Amino acid sequence: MDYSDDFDAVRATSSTAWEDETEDIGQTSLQRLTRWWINERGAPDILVWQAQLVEELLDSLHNQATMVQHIRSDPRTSEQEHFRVVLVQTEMERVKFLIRSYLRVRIHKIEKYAGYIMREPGVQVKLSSGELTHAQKYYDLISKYFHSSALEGLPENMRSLDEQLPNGRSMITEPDKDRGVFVRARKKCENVRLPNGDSLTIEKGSIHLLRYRTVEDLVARAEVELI
Amino acid sequence: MFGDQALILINDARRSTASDTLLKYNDETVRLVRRELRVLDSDIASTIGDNLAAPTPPPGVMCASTFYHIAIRRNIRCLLAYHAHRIDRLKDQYWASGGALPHVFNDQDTRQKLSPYEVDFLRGYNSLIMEYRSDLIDTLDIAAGITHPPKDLHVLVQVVRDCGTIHTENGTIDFQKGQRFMVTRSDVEHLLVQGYLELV
Amino acid sequence: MALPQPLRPGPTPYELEFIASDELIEISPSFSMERTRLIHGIIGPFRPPGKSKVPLWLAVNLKLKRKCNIVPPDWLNVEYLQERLAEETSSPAFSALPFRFAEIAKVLLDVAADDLALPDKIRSLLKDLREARQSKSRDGLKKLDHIQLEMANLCSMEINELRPFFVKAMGVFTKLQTDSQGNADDQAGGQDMDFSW
Repeated sequence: MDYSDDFDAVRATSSTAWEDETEDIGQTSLQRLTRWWINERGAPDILVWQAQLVEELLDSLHNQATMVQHIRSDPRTSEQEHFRVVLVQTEMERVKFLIRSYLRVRIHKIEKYAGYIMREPGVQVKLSSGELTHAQKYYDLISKYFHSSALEGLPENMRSLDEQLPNGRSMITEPDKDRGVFVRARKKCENVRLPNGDSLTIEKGSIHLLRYRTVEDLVARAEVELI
Repeated sequence: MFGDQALILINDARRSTASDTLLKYNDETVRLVRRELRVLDSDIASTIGDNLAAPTPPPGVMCASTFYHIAIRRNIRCLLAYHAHRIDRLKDQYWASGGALPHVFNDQDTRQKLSPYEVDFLRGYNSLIMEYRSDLIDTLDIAAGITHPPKDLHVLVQVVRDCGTIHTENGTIDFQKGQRFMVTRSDVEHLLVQGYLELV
Repeated sequence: MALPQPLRPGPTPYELEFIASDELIEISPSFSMERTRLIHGIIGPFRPPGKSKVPLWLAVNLKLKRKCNIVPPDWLNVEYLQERLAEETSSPAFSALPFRFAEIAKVLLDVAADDLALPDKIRSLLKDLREARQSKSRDGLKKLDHIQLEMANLCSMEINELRPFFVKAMGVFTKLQTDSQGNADDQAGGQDMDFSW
C-alpha cells in the first residue's frame, strides 16, 4: 500500500505548518501501535491487546526479512541494492524495538497485577492468550514463593494472600485509576464526567491533565491518547 | 514491642533500594517475625478465652484482641513486602542481563545473598519467560534491550571476555577475546551490560 | 521487572526522539534510488535534484552518510521562532509550536546544522523559548487541583519533564480530597472495626 498520497491529503487539510498527529486518515499500523505503546506506558491499568496491529507488523517484519535474505543471497545484487537493504534493516530494528517495548510494558503490568487479573474476568479479556497463560502461571509461581518463604507454618488464618481487609482494602494490589495522566484529544469529547460531578468538553487537539478514571473509556475508544 | 523485627526487614528493603544493591537475605529476622506471629496467635486465643460465644465481649477483651490483630496484620504486611521487594530486585537483575539466568547465578556476590526459595523462584520465572519468549524468538527477542531505541543499525564492539558462540537474531557469532564485530545493538545489549563486550 | 526502572515514570527523552523520528521531513537526495518498500510505506524513488519526503530517521541516516541534504521544516528558522518568542513573552498562553519541536530541532541541529540558516541563533532562540515556557508551567501549577488542568499548546518534551511533579501534586490534592471526605463520613456514622473471632 502506498501511503504517500494519504500524507499529502492530510497536509492539504491541515492549517498548521506541520502534520496533525491527531488525524485518523492515513495512520499506518506503525503509527497506531506507537500510540498504543505510549498509551500503555501512561495507563495505570492494562489496555486491550492490539492483536491486529501486532500481527500485521510481525507479518511485515517477516516479509521484509525474506526480501533481505533474497537480495543478500543474490550474487548479482548491486551496491545500490545493498544500500537499500541497510535501510530496510534499519527500519526493521525500529519496528522490533517498538513491539518488544510494547510487550515488555505489558508483561511488567501483568506481573505487577497478577492477582488482580486472576480475580477480574473483565481484565482477562484484555490480554492475549499468551499473556493470560503467563499471568496465571506467574501468579501461581509468586504465590508459591510467598507461601514457602514467608507464610508456611504460620497459623491457618494468617496464610491468605488475597484477603479483603475490614477497612475495605484488599491484599491484592490494584491499579491506581485515580492517578493523573496527560491526555490529548483525538476528537471532540463532550460530557466528560469529572470527579466533582461537573461536565467537561475536551476540544480536539487539546491537552489536559486528568485522573485516569475520568478518561479511561475515552482512551479505550481511542478518542483521546495518553502523552 | 510488637513489629520491631518487621521494621528491620522494611529498613533492609529501604537500604537496598537507596544503595541500589542486593543485601543478604535476612533469614534470621524473617524467622523472628514468624515466631512473633505465632506468639500473637496464641495471645489472641488466650485473650478471647471463654468469650468466643459471647455476643458482646467486654471492652477489655475487644481492645486487647484488636491490638493483637493489628500487630498481626502489620507483621504479615511487612513480611510480604520484604519478600516482594527482593523479588522485584531480582527480576530487575534478570531482565538487565537479557534473560540470562546463568549470568545472574554465576555472579558470586549475588548468589550468596539469595535464599533457596529465591533461587527456586528465579528458575521458575526463567522457565516462564523462556516459554513466552519462544513464541516470537524467530522474529524478535523480547529479552533484548529496550532502554536504547535503535539509531544506527550497527555498533562496533570489542570482545573483552570470551563469551563463546552466541545466537543472535541475525545469525550465530563466535565471540573471541580481542576480536571486533559490527553487530546490531539489540543483539548484544546484554553482552554489553554483562561486560563481555565493550563499545569501540 | 520487565520494564526497567528508568522507564517507569514515563517515556524517556530517547524514546520521545525515537517517536519524533517517524515524522516526515523533506530531503534532497544526492543519489538515485528505486522505489523501496518499507513497513512505514513506500520510499522514493529518488531522482536528484528532485526532493522527497521521508521519515526523519531515514533522513538522518542518509545525511550522516552524506547522501542527502535536509530541507528544514517551515518552523525551524530564525524568523518563525522569533515570532513565537515574541508571542510567548507577551501573552500568558503558550504559543503554538509543533508538538515534537524540541526533539526534531535537537536531531536536526545535531546532524544537519549545515542545512539550517543561522543554527547558533536558532539554538539560542530555542533556549529562550524553553525558558519562557518553563516559567509559565510553574504558573500553571497554581491552577492545579484534584480534578483537571488544561495545558493548551504544551509540547511533548515539556509534558514529559513536568509529568512527575504534576502527577504527584495532583495525587496529593486527590488524597487531601478523599481524606476530608472520609472525615466527614466518620463524623456521620463512625468507623466499623469488625474483626472476626
